[in-house]
Amino acid sequence: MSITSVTFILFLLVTVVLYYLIPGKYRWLVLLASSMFFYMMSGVSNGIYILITALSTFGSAIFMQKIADSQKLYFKENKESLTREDKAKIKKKNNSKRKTLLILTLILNFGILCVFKYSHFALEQFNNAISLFGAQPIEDTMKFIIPLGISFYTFQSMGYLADVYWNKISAEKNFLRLLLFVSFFPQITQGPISSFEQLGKELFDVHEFSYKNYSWGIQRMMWGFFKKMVIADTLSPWVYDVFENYAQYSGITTLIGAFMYSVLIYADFSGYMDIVCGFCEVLGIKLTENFDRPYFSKSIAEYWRRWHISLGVWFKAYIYYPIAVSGWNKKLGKFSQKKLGKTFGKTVPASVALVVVWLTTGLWHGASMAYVAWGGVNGLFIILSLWLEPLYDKCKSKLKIRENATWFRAFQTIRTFILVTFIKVLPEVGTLSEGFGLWKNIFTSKIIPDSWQTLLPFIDNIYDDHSLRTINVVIFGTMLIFITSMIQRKQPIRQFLGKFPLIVKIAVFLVMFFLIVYFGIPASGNAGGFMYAQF
Amino acid sequence: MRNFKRAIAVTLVCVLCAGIIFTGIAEFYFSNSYYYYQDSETRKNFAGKIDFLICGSSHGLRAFSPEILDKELGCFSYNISGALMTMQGRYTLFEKEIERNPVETVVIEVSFNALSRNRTKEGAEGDLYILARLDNMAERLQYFLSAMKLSEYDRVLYDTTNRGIQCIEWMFDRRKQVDTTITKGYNRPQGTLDCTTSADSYGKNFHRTKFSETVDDYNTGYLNRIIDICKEKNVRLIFVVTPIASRYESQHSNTDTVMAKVREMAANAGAEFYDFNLLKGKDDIFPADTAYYDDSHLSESGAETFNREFARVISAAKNGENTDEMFYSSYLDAQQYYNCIK
Repeated sequence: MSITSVTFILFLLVTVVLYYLIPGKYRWLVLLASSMFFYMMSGVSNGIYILITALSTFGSAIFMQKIADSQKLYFKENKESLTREDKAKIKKKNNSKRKTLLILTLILNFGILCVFKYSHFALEQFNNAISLFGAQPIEDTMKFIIPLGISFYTFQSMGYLADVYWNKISAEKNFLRLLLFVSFFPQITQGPISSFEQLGKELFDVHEFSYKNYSWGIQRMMWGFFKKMVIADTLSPWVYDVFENYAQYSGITTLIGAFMYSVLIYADFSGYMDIVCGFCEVLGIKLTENFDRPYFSKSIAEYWRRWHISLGVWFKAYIYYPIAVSGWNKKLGKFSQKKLGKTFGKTVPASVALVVVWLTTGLWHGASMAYVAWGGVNGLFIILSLWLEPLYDKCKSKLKIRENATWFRAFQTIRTFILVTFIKVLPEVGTLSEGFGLWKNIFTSKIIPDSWQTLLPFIDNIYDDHSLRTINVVIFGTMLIFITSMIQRKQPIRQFLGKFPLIVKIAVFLVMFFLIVYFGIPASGNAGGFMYAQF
Repeated sequence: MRNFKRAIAVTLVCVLCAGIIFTGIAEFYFSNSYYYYQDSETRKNFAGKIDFLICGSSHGLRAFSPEILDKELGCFSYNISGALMTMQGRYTLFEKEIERNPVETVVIEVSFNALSRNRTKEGAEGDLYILARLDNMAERLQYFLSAMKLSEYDRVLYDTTNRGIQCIEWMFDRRKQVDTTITKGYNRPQGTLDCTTSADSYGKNFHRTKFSETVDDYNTGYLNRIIDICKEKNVRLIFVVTPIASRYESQHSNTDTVMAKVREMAANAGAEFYDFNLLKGKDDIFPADTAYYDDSHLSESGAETFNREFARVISAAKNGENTDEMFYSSYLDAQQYYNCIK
């Protein structure tokens, strides 16, 4: 079910009506039924995998909880007879049981994810490796249809399991409640990846209908539809035309294509988030925010703290920290300090964790070397900025640059935006060499555009009335995103809108609705679904 | 509760305002006569006059010119064909016209895909044209609810808005307007495609592909309803296949099989059947370089010739002459002849 279709909107309407018609404590059951319906619409057989994940996570968490609870009880009952050594022994034994459970469940679930997502990639790499020794490559006959949202629900459930393992939360005792947490339909295809502590509370608390939530939610959904359908879906065929034909286009055209991609992916992904967060707001549910005006970041590291926030938080909590604080990494840090000095003593353990995080992030985004390289380049920039920070600080003080100076902040923002754009396009062109080819074309192409049509060759009949109108709407829409981001710096945009009389708000709604119908509907027919749904 | 009432009230105001705006825009599309498929007013004005009705898809739309037929046959004809016209659409318009006109002859254009067209695959476009050709909102609503799927509603909203805006623009640009009282449903194609082919290319592409042979019950169902009405009203019924470029036709190996089903329907209906792709000397009469708009539609000059040829054939049949000799009996025969002269 496409999220921009009439069917989906009707589905949302039915869900909202049923949700508020049913007594508060049973409302989560409406969400579960809707989630199951939504999921099954993508194929009944897909349901098997999400059930395996939910069941294994549920069972494993319950067992872990039982072990922890019985240990607690045993310690309590035998408080006086147990020595410290006895307690340590029991703890060690129980921890090893819990660890085994955790590892087995992780293997099972990440195994399913890997089989679906990475089998072709793994075989390709294996074939590349054996071909070096002259061996015959193995034919790829695997045909998989990746279950909807597998990357997102696997990460979310494994996060929950790790939290139970670390005793951060108690295991959920009701399977259906856990199933809802795993399969909650607004977030299953593209996130946000939430923690049980945060989302569970939102899902199972009783939310009464509120006009403010309703109107703010609808406003946010409209804004999301505008971003996705009018901006992203219009830009999509243009951008992919540049990516496919960059060799025949001028450097400036290729550069425009790259920048358009930055706008496209932001409008697409944040548009989706606005739609689902807006819908949840109507239900009184607050989802984790995934964006915080990322293109206003002053460094790559900051950009990643503000873009796809929930994924970053997940990697930080479940990969970065466990590696950064592991025994072997601490030893490596001490070794580095001895050999290379204080700065490296601090940064080497973090860098090791960052390398793992970024290569995994690359692989999570796509099963290709281009994505691994994309992750690597991101990681490299972050690690370099860590290492070079002292030098950077020295330069700034020598040149007497004030960190807070407006011009300097603007310079940092623009520089980061350009860097992010160049990194972003790398895996999107196709293979890694094609990605580098696009970079090269920007700087070395000898083609000079001599008209608007040759500058923007991806637009058919540029002088045609409809094309001109579409270009104007895309420019207007992009500027609107920029302006709203500027306003958001000071206050939420809907709070800003709230100051105006109702008639103005209705007029804004009507203009948005008209633009979505007139420009968004035909554009959404041209483009595919949401870009992040592929991950 | 106060919260809830306020939400409902504001939502209703928004929906109402949006409804007024979109209906207002769509009304420019529904109530004007600037384009060939905006002809409800014209057809209403012609009620009681039409005695020769042509009913087809885009092939018929670009082939039958009532202006020429009226002169050649001395009739008052009208072409209700439409691009991507579904059989339901054909039936809806046909039923309306046959009710209010003294129709004596009905021509049903049946091309190679007439029975195999799939509404789901082709989408809503054909039905969207029909919406503008109906007389009032009630008829449009009825057709909309019966022909459109829920998933197509957004497309309908866009399309009617877009065409409404187009009509607003046309209001100020007379050059873009079409006089539907003269064209009478015919869409004069702009331009020509040179469909000549080399012997080498002809040979390479000969019978390399097939037309779909799957007959869709949806199509036959509505076609049979048209046939039944014609029988009931004792109307002369003619099935016609309009010419397509020989290079395109020869690429398909199963044209005889596909057309046999149409022939069978025509025979069962007691209708005349003329396949102008089998017309002897077709490639001389319809020169490949000037007679086609594209591979499967006639150009303006091709249509002009076609209407004269069509009038000649049906007049001969009416006079009791044997028209069989004017045509090859099958595509295989025609192709053998063609290969032979090559």
